[in-house]
Amino acid sequence: MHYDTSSKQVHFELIAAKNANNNGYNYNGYYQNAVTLKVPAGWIISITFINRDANAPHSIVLTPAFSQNDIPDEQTGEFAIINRAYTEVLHANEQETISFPAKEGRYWLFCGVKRHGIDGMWIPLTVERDLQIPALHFRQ
Amino acid sequence: MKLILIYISFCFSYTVLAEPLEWPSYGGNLQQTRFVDDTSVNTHNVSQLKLAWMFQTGIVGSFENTPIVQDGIMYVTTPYNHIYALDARTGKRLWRYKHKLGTTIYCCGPNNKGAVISGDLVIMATLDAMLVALDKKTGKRIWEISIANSEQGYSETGAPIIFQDKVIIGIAGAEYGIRGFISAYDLKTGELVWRWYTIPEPDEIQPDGTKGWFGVFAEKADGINDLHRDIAAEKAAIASGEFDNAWEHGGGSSWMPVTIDKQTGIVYATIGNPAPDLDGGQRPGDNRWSASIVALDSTTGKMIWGYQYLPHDIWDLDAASPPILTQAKNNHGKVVPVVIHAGKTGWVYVHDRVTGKLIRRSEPMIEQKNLFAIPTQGQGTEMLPGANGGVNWSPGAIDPRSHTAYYANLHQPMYYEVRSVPWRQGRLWLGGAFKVIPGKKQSGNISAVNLDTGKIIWQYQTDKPMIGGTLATSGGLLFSGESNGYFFALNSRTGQKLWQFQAGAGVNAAPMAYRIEGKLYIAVAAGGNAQVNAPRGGTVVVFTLND
Repeated sequence: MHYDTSSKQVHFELIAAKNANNNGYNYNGYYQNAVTLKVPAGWIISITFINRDANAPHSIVLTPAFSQNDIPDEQTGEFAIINRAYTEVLHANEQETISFPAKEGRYWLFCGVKRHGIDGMWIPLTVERDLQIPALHFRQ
Repeated sequence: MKLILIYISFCFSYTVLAEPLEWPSYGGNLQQTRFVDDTSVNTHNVSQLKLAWMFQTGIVGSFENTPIVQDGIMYVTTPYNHIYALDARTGKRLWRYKHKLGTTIYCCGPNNKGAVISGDLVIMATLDAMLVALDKKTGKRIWEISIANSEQGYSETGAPIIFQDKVIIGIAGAEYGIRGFISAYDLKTGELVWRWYTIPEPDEIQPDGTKGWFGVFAEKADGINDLHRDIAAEKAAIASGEFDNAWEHGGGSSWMPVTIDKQTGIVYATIGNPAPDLDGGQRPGDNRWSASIVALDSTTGKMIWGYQYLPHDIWDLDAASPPILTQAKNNHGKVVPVVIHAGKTGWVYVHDRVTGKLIRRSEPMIEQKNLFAIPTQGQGTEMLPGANGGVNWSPGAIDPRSHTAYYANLHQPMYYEVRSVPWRQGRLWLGGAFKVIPGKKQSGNISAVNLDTGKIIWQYQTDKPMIGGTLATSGGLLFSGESNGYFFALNSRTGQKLWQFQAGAGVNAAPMAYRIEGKLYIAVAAGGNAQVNAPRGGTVVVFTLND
């Protein structure tokens, strides 16, 4: 993560299958609540997403935070909760950078490929009004 | 006299070619030879091969179907289990059936390899692990049965095979920790006749006298390559009792259609990886009969013999490509009936068909590096072939006259990283990950292999990994397709490219051929592939020579 307080922009690089955690269904090795990205409201978020999984495509779709029983089987970009806050489904070695405004709320960065979200490939993103700078919160 | 012989010869040729050539099941026949004895399209005129017709299914997914043809009608199955009946001369749609899918949990794309025909029925297996029989003339459903609970991760992407009064098919789902099996169903009713589990129960006696799935703790593959197993640790793990029930989720999919010897009634099948794929620590022992070829009695399902290519496979270098029945020389130079298989390992294996004994394995068709190195944590272990092979599910073709086999291969360098996780119903369970190596080039080839010697005769190199399959003809041709959309014909003797056609989407399916009114047609599905990310589409393309 790197950010610029003057322009109020934060950039994350997320790599699918960074390691073997959760069968490779992870972002930078994290999945489910292992890490939460926190961003001040009103900033611009950009994410560069890279897929290193040799055997499975992956994506990022910004979704609402689901309850465990309501996690969708798959999710296409048109259902992103903020306009254009999604990547295409990327295959091995492909990458894409997306950018969207940080609107206050609790979201998930969710892999929209069938079954991947149910299999735990999501991490929370929270956008908070009172936050001064972006932060990463790791679950103990 | 000479003129008489020429006349007789002409009449014989004409008679043979005028007979319809049908393709009633996935591999063209029960032996799955994918060899067409028709010289009307040959090395001299293949350059004149033209598009006869094409059919847009409108279903975009991952198109692995081999069409089947009988009585002038072609049946095409698509991703998500649609089935179309088409006039095989013109491509005119006759009917369509869409299976109403329930819960689906599957690996590697919403694929379907194809249907099978017998009598009045055309039969398809589905992603939600069902078997559906339709009236082949109308598409009306005659019967439908559930093979297994799809919510547990069971799925069907393969094609059923019909032998006598039974429909025989395996099951997929090892990536979700299912226990694999092959089953036979009554052709008329769909009722289960027998089921053979690919992963035996603990007390089940195996043909070699061992019990259960632990096997003989083989330390080498084919008695040659060190598998780097810690046998003492595996035996200690078994003795601890902690893994007593591991077999219940032991995997062992049977992805591809079975092969049948009509004379003996023996079923030959390839069996896939154990579960979890990479984490051998959760399944000590040989994990029989994963990564194997097996022979079963078609009447009872009883196992006759098994040969395990990779005892305790932790690389997903399993057995997917369907067996082929043909003949080849044994080690004494005598031509004997054999069953062959090309593995993800990159070797072609030639077995005595009766005993299962390995007669020989070929030279590697693809680069092998750090073969059978143990997957690690951290960066992981670089190894070749990658987890897709070698030869993946792609069926090979043979030329029975020259004892040659033709296989499509992948070259995909990968890191193998292991991570132990518990099994959970319906959840992916690889026990690690296969990671790409940035900057490493991937490629593929078609290899022609002499089954009598194991030597590679020629290789045709491709820019992208090859997945789909091959078709050989007595006209000296070998057909296959690439992920870049080209469908091509090679000289089967030399590997020289003689013809190609750009289909507009990845050609990642095995071609087939049929003859109507003396005219040979070559058909292939062009719709891309999920595993190698070939451009998607949904077209069947059919070629013939102009009149």
